[in-house]
Amino acid sequence: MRKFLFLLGAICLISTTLLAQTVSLKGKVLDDQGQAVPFASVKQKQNKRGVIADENGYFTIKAEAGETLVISGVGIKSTTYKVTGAVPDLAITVVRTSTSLSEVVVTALGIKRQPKEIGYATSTVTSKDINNGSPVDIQTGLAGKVAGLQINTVNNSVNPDYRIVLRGERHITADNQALIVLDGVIVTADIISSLNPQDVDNVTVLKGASASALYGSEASNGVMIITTKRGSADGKPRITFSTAVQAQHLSYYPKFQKGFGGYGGEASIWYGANGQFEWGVDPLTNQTNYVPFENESYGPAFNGQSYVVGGPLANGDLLKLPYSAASKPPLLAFTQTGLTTQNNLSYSGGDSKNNYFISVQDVNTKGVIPNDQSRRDNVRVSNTRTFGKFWAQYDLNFSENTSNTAGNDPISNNPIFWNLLNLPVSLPIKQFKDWQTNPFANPFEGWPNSYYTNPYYQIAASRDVLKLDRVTGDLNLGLDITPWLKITYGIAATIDWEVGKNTQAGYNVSSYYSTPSGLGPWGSFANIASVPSKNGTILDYTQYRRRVQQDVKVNFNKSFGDFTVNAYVGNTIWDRYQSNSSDASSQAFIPGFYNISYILGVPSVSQGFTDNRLIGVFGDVTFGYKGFLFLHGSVRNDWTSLLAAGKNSYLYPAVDASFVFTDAIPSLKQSLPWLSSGKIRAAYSATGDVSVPPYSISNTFTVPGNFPYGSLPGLQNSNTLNNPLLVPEKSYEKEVGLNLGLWHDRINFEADYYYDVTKNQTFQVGLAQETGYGGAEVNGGAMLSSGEEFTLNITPLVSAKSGFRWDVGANISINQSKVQYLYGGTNQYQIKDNSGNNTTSYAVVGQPYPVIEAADFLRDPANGKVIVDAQGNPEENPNLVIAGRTTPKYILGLTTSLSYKHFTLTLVADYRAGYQVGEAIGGSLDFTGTSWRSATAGRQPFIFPNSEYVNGAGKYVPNTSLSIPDGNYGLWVYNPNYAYSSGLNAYTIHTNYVVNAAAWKLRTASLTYDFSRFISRKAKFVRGGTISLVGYNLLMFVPKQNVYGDPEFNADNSNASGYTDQNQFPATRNFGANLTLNF
Amino acid sequence: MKRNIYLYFIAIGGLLAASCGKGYLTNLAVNPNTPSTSQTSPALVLSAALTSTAAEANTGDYQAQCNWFGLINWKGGYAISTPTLTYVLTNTTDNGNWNNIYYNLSNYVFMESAAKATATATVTYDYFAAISKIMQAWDYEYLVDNFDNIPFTQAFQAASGGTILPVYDSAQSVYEAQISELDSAISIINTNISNPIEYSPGEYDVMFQGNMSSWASFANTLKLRMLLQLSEMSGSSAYVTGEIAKTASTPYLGPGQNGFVNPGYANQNGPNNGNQQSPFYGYIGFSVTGQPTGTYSELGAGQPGIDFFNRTNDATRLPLMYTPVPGTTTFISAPFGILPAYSISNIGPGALQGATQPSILISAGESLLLQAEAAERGWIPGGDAGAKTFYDEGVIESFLYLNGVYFNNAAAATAATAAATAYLAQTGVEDVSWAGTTDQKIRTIIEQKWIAWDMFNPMISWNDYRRFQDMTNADGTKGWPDVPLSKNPNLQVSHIPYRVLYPQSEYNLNAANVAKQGTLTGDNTIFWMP
Repeated sequence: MRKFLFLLGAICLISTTLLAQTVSLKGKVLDDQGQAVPFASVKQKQNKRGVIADENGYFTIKAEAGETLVISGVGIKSTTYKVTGAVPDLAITVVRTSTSLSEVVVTALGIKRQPKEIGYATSTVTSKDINNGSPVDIQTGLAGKVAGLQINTVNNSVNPDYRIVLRGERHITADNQALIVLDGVIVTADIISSLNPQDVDNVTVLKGASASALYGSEASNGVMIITTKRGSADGKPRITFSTAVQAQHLSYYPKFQKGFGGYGGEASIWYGANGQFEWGVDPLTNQTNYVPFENESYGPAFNGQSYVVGGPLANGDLLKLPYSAASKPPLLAFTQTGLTTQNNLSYSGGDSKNNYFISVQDVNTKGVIPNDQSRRDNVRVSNTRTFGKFWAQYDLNFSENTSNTAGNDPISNNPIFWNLLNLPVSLPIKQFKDWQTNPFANPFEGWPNSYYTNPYYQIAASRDVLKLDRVTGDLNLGLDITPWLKITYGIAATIDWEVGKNTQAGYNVSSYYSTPSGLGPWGSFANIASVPSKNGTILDYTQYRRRVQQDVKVNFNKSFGDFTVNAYVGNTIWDRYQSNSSDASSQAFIPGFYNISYILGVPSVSQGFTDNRLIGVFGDVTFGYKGFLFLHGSVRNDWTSLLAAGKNSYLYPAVDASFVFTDAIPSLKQSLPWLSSGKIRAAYSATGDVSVPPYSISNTFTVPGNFPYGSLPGLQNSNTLNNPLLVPEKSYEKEVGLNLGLWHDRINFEADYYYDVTKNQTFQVGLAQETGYGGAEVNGGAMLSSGEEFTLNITPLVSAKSGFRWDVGANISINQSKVQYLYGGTNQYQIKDNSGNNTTSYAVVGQPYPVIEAADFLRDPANGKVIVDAQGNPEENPNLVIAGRTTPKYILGLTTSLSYKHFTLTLVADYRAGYQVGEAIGGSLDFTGTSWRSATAGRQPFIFPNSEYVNGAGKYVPNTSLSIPDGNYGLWVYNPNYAYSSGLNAYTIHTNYVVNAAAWKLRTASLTYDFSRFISRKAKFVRGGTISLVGYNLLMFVPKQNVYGDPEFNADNSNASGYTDQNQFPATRNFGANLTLNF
Repeated sequence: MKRNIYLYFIAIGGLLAASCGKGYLTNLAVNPNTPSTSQTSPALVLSAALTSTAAEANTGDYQAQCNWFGLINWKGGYAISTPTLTYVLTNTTDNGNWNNIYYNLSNYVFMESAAKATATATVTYDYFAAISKIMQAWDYEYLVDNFDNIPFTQAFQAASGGTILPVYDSAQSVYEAQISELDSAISIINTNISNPIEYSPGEYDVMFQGNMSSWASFANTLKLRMLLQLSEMSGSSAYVTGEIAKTASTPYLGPGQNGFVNPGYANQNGPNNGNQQSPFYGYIGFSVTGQPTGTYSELGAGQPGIDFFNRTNDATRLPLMYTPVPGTTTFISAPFGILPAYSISNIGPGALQGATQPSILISAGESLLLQAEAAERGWIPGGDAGAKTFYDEGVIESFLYLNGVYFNNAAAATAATAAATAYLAQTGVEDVSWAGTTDQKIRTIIEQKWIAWDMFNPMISWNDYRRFQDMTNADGTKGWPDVPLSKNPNLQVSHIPYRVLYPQSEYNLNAANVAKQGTLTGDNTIFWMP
């Protein structure tokens, strides 16, 4: 055993010496379409010595004039080349013997199969396509490239979150995100954010459930298999170095008004001596309706005069500023250009029996919010060694992530975006940077907003620091007993450890500023802090997660005449463990020192563990007939620890068939010479899924929040009726598909249709409290999801002579979903976000999943026009209305690549449509009055567009005369004490902010210059290199009604899609440059 | 090497077999984060459930009812909810107590079954069963007095696989069942009082610290309160007198015998981040850091409260219940329903005694005034003279309480008693002096109960108001205690609501059963109303 480990380690040190010859030939192997042929063998015919071309088809060989080189490899016809002497830019063209159906696809459990064998939809994206623009993460590199794959960037920070979904949503409450498998190891989706995209060899997407039956329960949403690079087999060590710089600029943000300053409905509340309403004149400003320390912007129109801002300082000083829009709204003036720099270095090599790969990466990000930063370092090692019939292989990846970002403000606990939106557009925020020295900028002195803090103070006083260490590793051992019988054993672990510390500074407010100054009806210029002093706040949390999996697999693979049999039986066991703990206190008594041992009083603490396991056994067999007809079936049984004994075993089968009609009927190719390959396929699968959280089958008691009192403990009913009768969810999927290769695969076309029903969905329903419980875990709901996917890849133009090549790829996916049934008589279910809070997204019987339910105006049922009251004010409908689905019905992805000689231009664009997003930020902006929308009527009385009123006879009549009496504060913000209130909270009518989420996005644009030929002549040790200019999110086109920002953003990556608020900082446009060198 | 490889595979096989051993999956069924039902003892549930009942009694749906009955009022500059102002209720108005009380009941129901289940040959838990019955009666009375008909016979069956859609039972049947349960609880206590193997609730009993005689008195007082609730219901007198007679041998809570809950309130947040202050103080008083709570800032003295103290020459309790307007020595409020443009008095130091003040379930004062009414009506012995004694003792209790005698100022007892005695000695003062007809005396009792205790538990006066809602006051208005209606110009109804409506959650989750109760408004009555 020790010897074995020694050997594994030693492989990394192996290198191979090169042969000495006379002429050095540098060349490239191309196919008949000008596409590089990777890893072809280039040998001298005479002495059989040779080299292997690299992944881009390049090779270097020493030979003498007159010698013959033989170029051979998988899927190409052996070709000879006679050496005539040194030839610059030598290109050797070979003929492909097989079509795209004979490349290798890695399917479930690492089983390698040819596409022609597969009866379900798969899609593979290569390293080159992913890394075209040096993305910081794989998700960015995949967007727009696979039909049916939807990757959403849901927020913008130095650590963005993603949501990865294949073929839409299947589950009502269970996770709908695809399973991510990294080198055979099941990992959590967030791990791929910390993986170096340059290490990735390819990503294979198994779109449907039938593709994934062998991964078990977790794969019911499809699988994304990431395979990392290994050393190549040509015996040569390779070093690749790349460096990239990217700038981020805040670009897609809400539209602001530019005409009005601070006022929040004050003064009209005031009762005069006789109890009547009275307007007052602000003693500070001598203005009516202008409040100099207000967060809301419903004041008079800007006039450019010098106005008081804020209240008087303790020494009586007043700040005066022009009453006009600042050159930039506070959001833009405050943010900066973010910068990401990354450096990658990899070292690989090997021969036909052994290979190794080592890479290191460092990524540094400076955020658009000043002081935000993150850093990630990755180290990856993989190694394979073969000893006769035995082989061993391991991968080890370690990453360390650190981020330091602005937290919620210490005074009111608001996010920074929200604080920025609560500043009038007249405030030149940069003048308030020196909050320590400028008393008008100090939020505890003269800061001119009595409700929201100075963002410069916030970024200094509140920091969220996160450290995340991750290890993923796997060890695989194989024994090829005979060529047709093989056994493999694998053990894999993913471990991550997250340590967070959020701190907020304490403060003291002098009595002058903490005592309302008695400005009476105009509110009071007082400090935003509601308490005169506060100690520092600490929140520490740690999360440890570990998943260990063991797989044993026996493979039988043999031909019997025209028949082939390829069968697997195996066993999988995994254990998933998680522990969380946290401590918190708001009593850190030493300013600037945050350790939970140095607090007053007792900290609040929490602790939780979960552990669950699964045992699965499976069989999988593929019968082939003459290489054109394949039948594949699998069956699996799982036993889970999550369900009660007797309910915890579940069996699920899958079958599929593939028929390569171009091979079955050879005459077809002759009569249709343009048809190079064709396949039809069909599949049916069932997949079980257990989505309940651990410990959902027995009832428990919990400690009430206020207990224990000293030494007195207490417990209370947990209020959830846990259910030992729960059974697994079951997804049943049918799919059919067609693959066509035309004109020597110059055009590839693929079409799929799928129909998926998921039944027995587990979710928590509300119970009437008199049952003893507020809620119960039940099996219920059924949901249908179906769709079509089309992929077209075209190489319209190849000219080997001019060096010109053009590739175009397009994919379209269409998804329909429908909630068929929930539970009992329930017809709607409110979806919760990751924190367990209710959202505006619902599952509604008969509707797509999910839909927004929103507050709306009262409308004429006949034509949907808004009904106004006798004063001209619109009224609120007491019931919520369904305002559209929140997942895209149509996704169109477009990629194009244009090469001329050494230049390549690549563009990736996509269009998503057929869905809505609820931009709650719109309501928040209308509340603050900084929104463009709230000023579209100039804050004057106006007739509600397209409205109706009810006449004396109870009929709806078009409204041409009833004008909203107060188009200012009275309409937008309800305040019962405001004399001119419409009685309606216009900013809470959420339908106003539910906008068409359609968007065209230019996600990636890159221009690459390959200077390999140039540099390798000058510097022999360099094999090649590229330099690129790249851009992400360069352009976004959205419907006019969306004045809020990127519709892809979401509150979090839970099922509750279609909701944004002030917690998602707006989206950026990114551009940069990359340099890659190969040695 | 080759042999080693085969050995390795054998080792793997062994590992596989071992890991699939018995319990590999089932061992993980036990939740390590929250204790299971079998790990939960009746004692642990008692402490939390009693603390929770007390919080509900002292703060639950407090504002509306307290506003209606005039001891507190909104200050100017704050928005009052329209239903509170105009008495027009919706299914989301002031009925959160439905869920809170049913949740609280589920804990008592568990406690009663756990008391039986955990009993052994050497230790029995009958006291927990008795306390459970008493507190269930408390909770059910609370529910019926708010909602009239409620689910009862089919409630709490979900845990054992029963219905999740319980039918509603008639309010009267619930009342009668609970009165019978109280008899049963008293009987359990009396039977076991000297049983050496009875497990004493001890410190887990955060009301009486395991003193079961006090629990029997508490139960009997609660029963008296429920029976008095039936006093104005037609045809009820035979039932009422018969039921009162049944437990004549058990005393009621007497002078100094308060049903106060204190689990060890502290001016801090506990390790689970919950507020450990006395709930009344933490709600309407001051936060852990000593800052006024939002409610304290929004609410101040009610006009009827200040008027009553002034009218009855009560200079002792006025400055305890309220504070002078800041910067002055005067006590000012405003009529309910109007936003005052001037400052009004805050809630005073006799009500907000401290963060660790006890919560009140049934005070000695309330008990004595209940006894005064029962004696005056001839339902308990003593006649008018006995009633007068109970009345005097009851009023004295209010003076003792507000002076902090039961909290941190025992030394004030003598002075407080003297002040109360002088107050009671006044003649010709309506609602103080013991004079006139039986009705007038009962009105005096009701008014004194209101001024003394309504701020802490507004159910007390709401119940009396509805019970006596056909009594006419001098100014022509109806109902005792005698408080003015809202001055809101939009007021459409002529009385304070008689009930609250079933919560929206019932219409969502138990729709068919709640629908059978018909369409309801605040005009619909509780079964015991005349």
